[in-house]
Amino acid sequence: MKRELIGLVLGIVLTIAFLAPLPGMFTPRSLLSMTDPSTGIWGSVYTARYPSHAKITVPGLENPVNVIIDKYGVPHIFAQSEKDVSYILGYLHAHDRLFQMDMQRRLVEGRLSEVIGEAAYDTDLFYRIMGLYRGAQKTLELLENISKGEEISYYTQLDVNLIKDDAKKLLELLDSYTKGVNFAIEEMKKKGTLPIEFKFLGYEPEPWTPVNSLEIGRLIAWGLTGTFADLEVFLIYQGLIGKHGVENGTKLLLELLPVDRLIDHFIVPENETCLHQVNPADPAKASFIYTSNMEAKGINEILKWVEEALSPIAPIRSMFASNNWVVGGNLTKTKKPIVCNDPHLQLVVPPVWYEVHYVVKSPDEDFINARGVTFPGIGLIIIGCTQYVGWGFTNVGADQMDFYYYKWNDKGQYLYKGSWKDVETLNQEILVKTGNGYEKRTIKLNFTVHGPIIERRGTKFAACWLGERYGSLESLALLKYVHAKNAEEFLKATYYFHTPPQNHVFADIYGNFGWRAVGWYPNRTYPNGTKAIDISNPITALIPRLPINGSSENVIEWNLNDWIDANEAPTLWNPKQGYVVTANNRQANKSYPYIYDIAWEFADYYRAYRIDYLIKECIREKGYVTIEDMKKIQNDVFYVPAAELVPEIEKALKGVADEKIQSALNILKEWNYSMLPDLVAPTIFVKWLSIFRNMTLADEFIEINKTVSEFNVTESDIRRIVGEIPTSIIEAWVKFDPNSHWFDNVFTKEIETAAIIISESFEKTIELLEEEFGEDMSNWKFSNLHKLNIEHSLGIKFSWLNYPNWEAWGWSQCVNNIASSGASGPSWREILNFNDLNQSLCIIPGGQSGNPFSEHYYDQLRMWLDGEYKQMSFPAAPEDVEDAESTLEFSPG
Amino acid sequence: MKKLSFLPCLLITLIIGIALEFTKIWQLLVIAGIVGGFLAKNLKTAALSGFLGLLFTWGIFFLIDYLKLPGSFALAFSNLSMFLGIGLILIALLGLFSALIGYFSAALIEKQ
Repeated sequence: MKRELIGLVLGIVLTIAFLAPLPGMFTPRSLLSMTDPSTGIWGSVYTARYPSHAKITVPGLENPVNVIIDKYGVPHIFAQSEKDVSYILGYLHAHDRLFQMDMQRRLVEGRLSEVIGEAAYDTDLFYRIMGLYRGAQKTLELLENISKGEEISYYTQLDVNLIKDDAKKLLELLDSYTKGVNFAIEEMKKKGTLPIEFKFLGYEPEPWTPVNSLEIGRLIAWGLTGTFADLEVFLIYQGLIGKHGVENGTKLLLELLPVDRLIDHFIVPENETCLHQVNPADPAKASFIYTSNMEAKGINEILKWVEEALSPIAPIRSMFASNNWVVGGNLTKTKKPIVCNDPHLQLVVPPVWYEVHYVVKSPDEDFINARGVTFPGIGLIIIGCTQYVGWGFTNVGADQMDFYYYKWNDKGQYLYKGSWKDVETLNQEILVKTGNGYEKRTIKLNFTVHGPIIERRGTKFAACWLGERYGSLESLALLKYVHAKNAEEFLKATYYFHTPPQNHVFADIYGNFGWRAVGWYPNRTYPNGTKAIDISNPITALIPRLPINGSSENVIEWNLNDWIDANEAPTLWNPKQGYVVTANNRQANKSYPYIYDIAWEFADYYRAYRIDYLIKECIREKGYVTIEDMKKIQNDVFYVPAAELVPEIEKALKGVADEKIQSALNILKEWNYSMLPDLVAPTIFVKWLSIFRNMTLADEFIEINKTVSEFNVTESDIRRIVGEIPTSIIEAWVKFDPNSHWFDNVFTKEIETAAIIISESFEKTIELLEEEFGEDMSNWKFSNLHKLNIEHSLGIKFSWLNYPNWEAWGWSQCVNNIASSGASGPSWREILNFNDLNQSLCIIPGGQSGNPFSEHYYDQLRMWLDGEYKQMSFPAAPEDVEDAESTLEFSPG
Repeated sequence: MKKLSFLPCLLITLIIGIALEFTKIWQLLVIAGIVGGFLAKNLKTAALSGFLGLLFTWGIFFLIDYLKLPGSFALAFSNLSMFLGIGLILIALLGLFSALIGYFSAALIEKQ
């Protein structure tokens, strides 16, 4: 009897131990739930592949829609209305990328810690402060107000009556897209086929809402215009002023970050007419003299906190690069334009882009045959082509974000325009996932008239970012792009693209082509309306790059009645040169009067120069360019900084007898400056450049750190600061000012020149490479240094979700700009062939599907890496789609 | 009450297990283990039929999954082989523990 009782109790206890909800992720119960063949992680395998033929009845659809999935998983949607296209696109986005969409909306809303826990708390706090979701809400309100014909107080330039109907339509499309997403979510929940990541994290997605789509738009805008560079510059400036005084400090800052660079390459070629409707600027009366007396000990803490807050999970950051160009028919073999684009964004799993092709054919609507890439979560083509017009984007690097500091009193009020004002507050709750539930934390967000406050160690700044302060209409512009029947209509539609400002290159089937730096740029003015930035006074260009004194009686603010709008943006229309190249380089020289207003965060000239050179070379040799030439250019790995600086290394090392140095130098001399994995020279050069940069600049900042208490940084901070100085600035010093004081090591008695630092840094490079890879130089192959690093947001825990770490071609500053980290690069390559659009080409770095069990998880990655493309065709009917993998027939129900 | 040998016990556990798995509530599988154990003629038979009964139940479902979409499931099973293995071991152990409940309950009833 006793034995039976013991056995029974043991059986019950052990069974309960398996069934009980114990805390933790890897308890028997949670593991059994996760691995259950009916409801566990395996369910998502069923959505890895669409059925070869399926009939799906969906509520909310207006008419039947056919979808053909091709052999790369790209959907071709054939519908009778744009509303139905939006619905189906929402369904397909959710089917293929739901986890990505959910993570991104959670990131924007500051709700990641609800599902990830403490590790994401600072990220949530940061995004709640920056208020991307507030900007999305304002965009929704803006669209609703425009659709009702109401004037917009912050965009008085807008004629709302012109876009009232478009706004209405866009809201309808948003609604339809949302329904499509939610239908897919419900279907997956019901069938137990939600993406595997939800199972791992143990939650289910909430329904999608229209504002979620606008939040994804805000995330993109944040990635391309949200920058704390003003504070970084201010930190450097504080250090320089503290050590050298205001006058010399300002002079030194302008040497490090000049308003106009000595070596540059503008988008607008010389002798070209830049179309813009610019009103003559009212120049500022006073010169710019920076007079900050603020206590700014917390700047570096703010910068570090921002860096840490962004690091745990940030699908989109540090993505400031892209190439695009358009060649007119006069210079192509086919006599028709070619548009090329490769936006360099973060390389992640799944890719940031989702490709789609759709056709709208009905008696009531415009015929549209469009193909391009969308962001999962947004039901509109961002970059692509229709049967009439094609386009591509690069980032302008626009300054749409200013920081304000104030005088504060003991009551916590700030001085603004002569009176003390209370901060506005907003209380919010963040749920943080814990071992056995959630912890509720209340946070208080503070705002001044200029924006949300960020504070560390008593140093407070208000961040004034367009994306948080105001709604914006780029979605409306994108909607109008697919309706444009020619390049002229396309150019008109660009007027509504507010943020993030993008260099649009475009062409149409009639042979017109051009470029515009599309966006709305803040016009900073003094209280009396005088313009603060004056083209004839370059030092005023510093104003938007440094925090602004919000308590000054002469406070500089954005003039909401007079934006520098897209009609005033620099534009080229059928330029005489026959082509336009943009690669985040500066738009124009001073002939364009708002050049200091629109951007300062432009890239070094290297990529733009190289593309321009290669196009010119084709024209010189053959008289025209071909699609094959465009492919070669997009995949070009020539490293211009090396071509410019290796001869300087040679000069500096002339006469050095050391055998190792000579061997390494010979490798560099024989190099054709290609950043290829099998070569040793790229390893030597990139290591040298980093050491050379550090040896040139770090000593000055180490000295400042010792003497200026406000600077107060670590060695790694100094490396970060030094890394911010553009390579072309250092190149210019080497070539034109080799005795620059920056080369002198402030800790030695001798006066060092460029040649001495080059020589010393080269020796150190060889030493370090020997330590890292051994004495045999043949082992220093670039492949050891440069690998793809394309990770899933849960890749730290589940590494099998990441893409393979294949060796990578190219490097930062190459046309094929795969960054040194291996985690950002060409996120989409398109070559639009206006001779026959069906012969256009494209590729993404990965695959269409976010489902790790799908054959489309990364079926394009190898092709992308090898510089291959897939056909970007525009079939007008379902039966014209080649290599169909699935046919889905949706019908209204 | 006439007690059953290993094979009938295993079959009963398996059939009930499969039926209960269709409810999509894996916790109910303990019922299959308990019934199998209750009918077993000895402890060894109960433990083995519970262990293998639920192991085979899930195994059959995994096999059906694989046969439906061989490519995708082969990839899933290889990437998640650890989860697959742990899941199968845990469900088998649950079968064993629940069979103990069944077996000793039957024994107690018999003694009373």
